[in-house]
Amino acid sequence: MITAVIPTRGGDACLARNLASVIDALASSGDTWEIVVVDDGRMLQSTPADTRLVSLPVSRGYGPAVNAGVEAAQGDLLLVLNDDVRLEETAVRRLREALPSDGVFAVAPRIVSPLARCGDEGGKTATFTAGLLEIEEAPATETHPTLYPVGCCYLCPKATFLSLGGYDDVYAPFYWEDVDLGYRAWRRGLASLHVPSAVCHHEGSATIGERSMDERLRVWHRNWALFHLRNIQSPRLRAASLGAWVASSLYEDRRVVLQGLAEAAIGFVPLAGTAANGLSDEEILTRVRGG
Amino acid sequence: MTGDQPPPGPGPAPVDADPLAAFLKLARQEGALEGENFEAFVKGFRERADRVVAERLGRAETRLRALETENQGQRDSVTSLEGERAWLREILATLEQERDWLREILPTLEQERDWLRETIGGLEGEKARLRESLGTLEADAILRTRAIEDAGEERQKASAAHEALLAHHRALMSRLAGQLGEIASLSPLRAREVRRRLGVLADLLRADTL
Repeated sequence: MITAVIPTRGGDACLARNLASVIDALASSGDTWEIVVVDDGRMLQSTPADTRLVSLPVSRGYGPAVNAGVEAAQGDLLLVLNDDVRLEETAVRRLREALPSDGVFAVAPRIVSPLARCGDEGGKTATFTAGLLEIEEAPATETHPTLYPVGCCYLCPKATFLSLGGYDDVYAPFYWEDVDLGYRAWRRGLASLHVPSAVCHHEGSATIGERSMDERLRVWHRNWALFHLRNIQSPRLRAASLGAWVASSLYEDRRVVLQGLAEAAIGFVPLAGTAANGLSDEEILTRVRGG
Repeated sequence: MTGDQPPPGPGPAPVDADPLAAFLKLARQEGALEGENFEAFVKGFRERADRVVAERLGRAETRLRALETENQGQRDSVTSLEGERAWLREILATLEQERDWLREILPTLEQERDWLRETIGGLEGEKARLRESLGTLEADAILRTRAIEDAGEERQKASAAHEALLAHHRALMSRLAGQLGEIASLSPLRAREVRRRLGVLADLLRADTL
C-alpha cells in the first residue's frame, strides 16, 4: 500500500489544483493507496475529498508535518509530496518500478520546476567548495544517484524513513531537512535515486514563498551551518567547514545571515555517538557522483 | 518518530550574538586549530573568505550598477529637463518679442480704434439722418398716394358730371329738335305762337349756358 503524505499550510487552492493528479497517479500505480493530508497549523478551510486529515494545532513547518503524516500512514510505501506538486499519471508507477528491494532509501522523479536552472529539481549532486558542501543540479536522462530526495516529491519505504528517524525537527520550519535525511541515508549506504522517466510538476515554494526574504536567508544559513555541524565527520572536511564558518562570520555583512549562523553555532549540541560510522563523507560524494 | 530522536533544535540567538566567537570556540573544542586539521581549517577559512568577500563585492557592484543606472536615469532626466527649460526659454523669448511688437503696434491700434469709433459715430449720425429722410419720404409718399387717390376720385366725379351734363345736353337737344320740329310744322299764320315758343326755347338754351 502506498500512502501519499501531503503537508500543507492552508493550501486549499493548491490541493484543489493538484490533488486529482495525485489520485490518478496513485490509481495508475497498480497498488492500493491512501492520501494523508497534514494540516500544519489547522489552516485548511475544508478537508479535501478522498483524503485522511491529520491536524496539527500549531504549525511547526515541513519536516515535523511530514513526520506526523508518516506516523499516521498505513502504507508500507510513502509518497511524500508538497501541496503544489502535480503528478503525471505514470509518475508513481515508474517510481515504484525503480525502487529496488534494498540498498535504496528513496526514488525521486524528474521535478519540472521554475526553481531549477536546468528545469529539473530532481537530480542533485554536491561538492565541497571553499570548505562547505555546495549543492548543484544534476540533470540526467537515465536513473542515477542523487544526493537526496527533494522534499517536494519522492517515494520511499516507510520502514526506511522511520529507521532513519524521519526528518530532523532541528531544521524546522524549512530548508536542508531533506538534504540532511538523504545524507544520513547515504551514510548508512542507502542511496537516493533520480528517476527522470517519472515526471511531476512543481509550482515552486508555495509555502516558503510566504516568508520574508530576511527570514529565508536567516533560516537557510542557520540550517546550512547546522547540516555541517551535525553531519560532516571527516576531520579535515569538518575543520575546513569550521574555518569556512569563521570566515563567513568575519566577513559576511548581512545581519540576518550572521543571525542565522549565530543560532546554529550557539544552539548546536554535539550528537552523541557520531564518531565515524558508515560511509565517509568523501565516499558519499563519490557515490552520489556515480562512482 | 521512532528511531533516534534528534536533540532539540536551536532557538533564536540574541540579536547581538557573535557567531565568530561561537564557531572559533567549536573549532578549538573539536581540535580544528591543531595539527593537520589546522591546515584544512586555514584553507577553508581562506577560500571561504575569498568567496564571501567576492560575493560582497558582487553585491556591491550590483548595487553600484543599479545606482549608476539610477544615476544615469537621473542624468537623462536632468538633460531632458534642461532641454525642456531651453525650449521654454525660446518660447518665452518669442513671447517677449511678440509682447514688444504688440506694445509697439498698440498706439497705432488705439489710433485706429479711435478713428473707427469716430467713423462709427459719423456713420451712426448718417444712419439717423437717413432714417429721418426715409421717414419724410415715406410720409411724402403717403401724401402723394393719397393725392393721387383723391385726383382719381375727382376725375371720376368730373367724368360722371360730364357724362351727366352730356346726357342732359343730349336730352335738351333732343327736346329742342322735337320742339323745333313741332314749330316747323306750325302754319305761318301762327307766327306769334312760333315766336313765343322760339323765345321759350331761347330762354331754355340761355339758362343752360350760364
